[in-house]
Amino acid sequence: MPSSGEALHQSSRQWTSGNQVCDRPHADLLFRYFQADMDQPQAPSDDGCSRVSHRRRIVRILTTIALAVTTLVGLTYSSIRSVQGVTSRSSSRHQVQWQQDVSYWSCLAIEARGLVVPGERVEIDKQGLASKVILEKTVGGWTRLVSSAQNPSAILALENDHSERSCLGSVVVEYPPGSRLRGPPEKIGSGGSDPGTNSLPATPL
Amino acid sequence: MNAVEAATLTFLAFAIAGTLPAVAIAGQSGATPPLAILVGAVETAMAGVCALVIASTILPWFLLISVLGALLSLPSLIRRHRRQPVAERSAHRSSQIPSIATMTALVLTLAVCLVPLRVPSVGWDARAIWLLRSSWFLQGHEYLLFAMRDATQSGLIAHASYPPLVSTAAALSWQLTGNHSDRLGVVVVTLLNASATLATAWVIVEIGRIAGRKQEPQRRARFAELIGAVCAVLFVLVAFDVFGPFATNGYADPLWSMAAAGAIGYGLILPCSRRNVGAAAILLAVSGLTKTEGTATAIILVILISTRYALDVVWPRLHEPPDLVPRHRLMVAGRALWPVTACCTAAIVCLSLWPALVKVLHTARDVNTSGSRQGTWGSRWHETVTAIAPYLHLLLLAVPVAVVSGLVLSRLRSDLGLGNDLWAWLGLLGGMVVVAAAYVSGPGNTAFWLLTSVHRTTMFPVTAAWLIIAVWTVLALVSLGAPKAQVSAPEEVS
Repeated sequence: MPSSGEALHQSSRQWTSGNQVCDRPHADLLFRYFQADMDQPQAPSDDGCSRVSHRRRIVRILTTIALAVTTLVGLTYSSIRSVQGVTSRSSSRHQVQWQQDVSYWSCLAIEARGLVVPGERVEIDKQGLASKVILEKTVGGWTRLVSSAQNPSAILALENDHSERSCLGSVVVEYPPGSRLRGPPEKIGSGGSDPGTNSLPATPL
Repeated sequence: MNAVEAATLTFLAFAIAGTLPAVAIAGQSGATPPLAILVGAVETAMAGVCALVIASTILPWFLLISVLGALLSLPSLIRRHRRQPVAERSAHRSSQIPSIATMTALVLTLAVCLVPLRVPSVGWDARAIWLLRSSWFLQGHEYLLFAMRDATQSGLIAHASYPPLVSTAAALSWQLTGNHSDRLGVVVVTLLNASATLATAWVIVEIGRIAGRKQEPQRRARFAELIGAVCAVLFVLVAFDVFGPFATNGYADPLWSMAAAGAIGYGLILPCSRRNVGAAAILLAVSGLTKTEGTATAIILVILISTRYALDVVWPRLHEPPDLVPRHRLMVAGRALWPVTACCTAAIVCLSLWPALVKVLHTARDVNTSGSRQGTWGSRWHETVTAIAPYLHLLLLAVPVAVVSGLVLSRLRSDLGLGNDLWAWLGLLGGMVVVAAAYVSGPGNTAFWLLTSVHRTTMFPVTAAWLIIAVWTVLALVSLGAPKAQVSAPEEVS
């Protein structure tokens, strides 16, 4: 009793050498072609099947050529797109825009460092999401952000200011703890200067 | 010290720290330099964990771990050196020229892709998550523990518990060089992305070389190697197209995606060998320590790679020697299986350490893994599929290519000892399912979550699909260039 593997080999040999098997309907032939014999070596044949094996070889080569061309075109097209993207992202316009971004954040950091020291317990203004996020990014890496119930030593907020000392129209200010941001700020950040209007580049999320 | 000098010094430190362990784990090949850098980065993550759990800052721990890593690697390196015959060593040295030429081409291609680094862009997440946490790691144990635990400190960025690698690598560069700038942090992350890309591209080079070894005459062998090198160069370019602006603005997604794709390459595509599984292990460590979805994907890949290696070990023992009774064959196979099982278990435990640690330390909860859910399973599933589908149009090319190639070239593929393509597809699907499951079963509003992240979370399947396509391209071209008798193995014809 031959194993299933042997049976498969036997049947595939029979197909390539026996005339009656060569005359099978096209669909069946195609199925068997891919199923067992497409990538098999060709047995030498001197009967009518040589035509079939020749055709099979040509189909195989043409399929491989089509594959190689398709994948190479895909890879090359995406590579060209990549180079175009690289060129666009490194343009001088982008460089100027992102340099403004660097100046803005640097300005805010200088102002904040003039108000609080590293490690200090600070509460940040949570009235506006934008100012909250900006302040978190500015001081969240070196101060201890706490809530009002955790005894902060200062409250930091962002206020509109279009003077020379502002950071694109904002300035960091400090309120005394427990003041609930009422009245004038206790201190106003200084040292940074990035005047102008907010023209920062869009940051992809 | 400016950012370029500081980044150079940092990567020199990574390379020095990582070279001996990388060679001990993954052997010596063209991929050794990028793998060594990645091992250095993994060591910074380990240093970050020590700083968080025990005491001190990241630099002393990094130095200690580097020395320990080098010492632990020495016995394995000495053993390997003694085993390798002298003739083989000198032959190895003489065959370095094509490797160097290929590596030069890849590095030059990467240099082109890194031109946008001249623009000082710092991405949203880079500033709000990765580099903010780098500042925490920079300040040492006490501050780090406070920041990770306190809901006010970590409440806004919401991802305090993300794996540490990207943040610790940047923190180490700051501490080592004294240049505490976002710019340096972004450059370090970008160069890590480049290292992972280089290591992954080497899989394609390696396939060209494996095909070349089976070719005669020498001219055909060189042709196969050249095909591998060219396809690797194209893969690098394509990868940076997939990453887009996130390749050079400090985001962590390109790193975990490329590392996981590389692990597919070494663990599921290249022939089973200790060297290849070692390289896969390094890349899995990088993926798992970079982002939460990277950890989940890495665990799935560990299971797949282990299964492939287990089958590779067990299968011959079940059939040989023929004189053994079936029960004995099973025992022999079972005995051969335990190292694979042990390695798989150890890898899963290592990958689960960080998630377990953040739970034990009671760090602030991550909004992506906690809180209440909005919407039904059905609505979230629909939203997820609708959002993900436009980013996966590459599969319309990759799937037919894989099916047709499987029919036409699978014989050549198995003759070269490469893993069945289905393994790579299982890896790709595993990563996709993890991400989709997180969107469907996770908390919050899926629509907003998808809107702000799906273009990045789909980087992994797209990169892996390009890797699969590139591998089939090499095989198709090699098949066309080779004489018929070599493409088809004659031994099975009676």
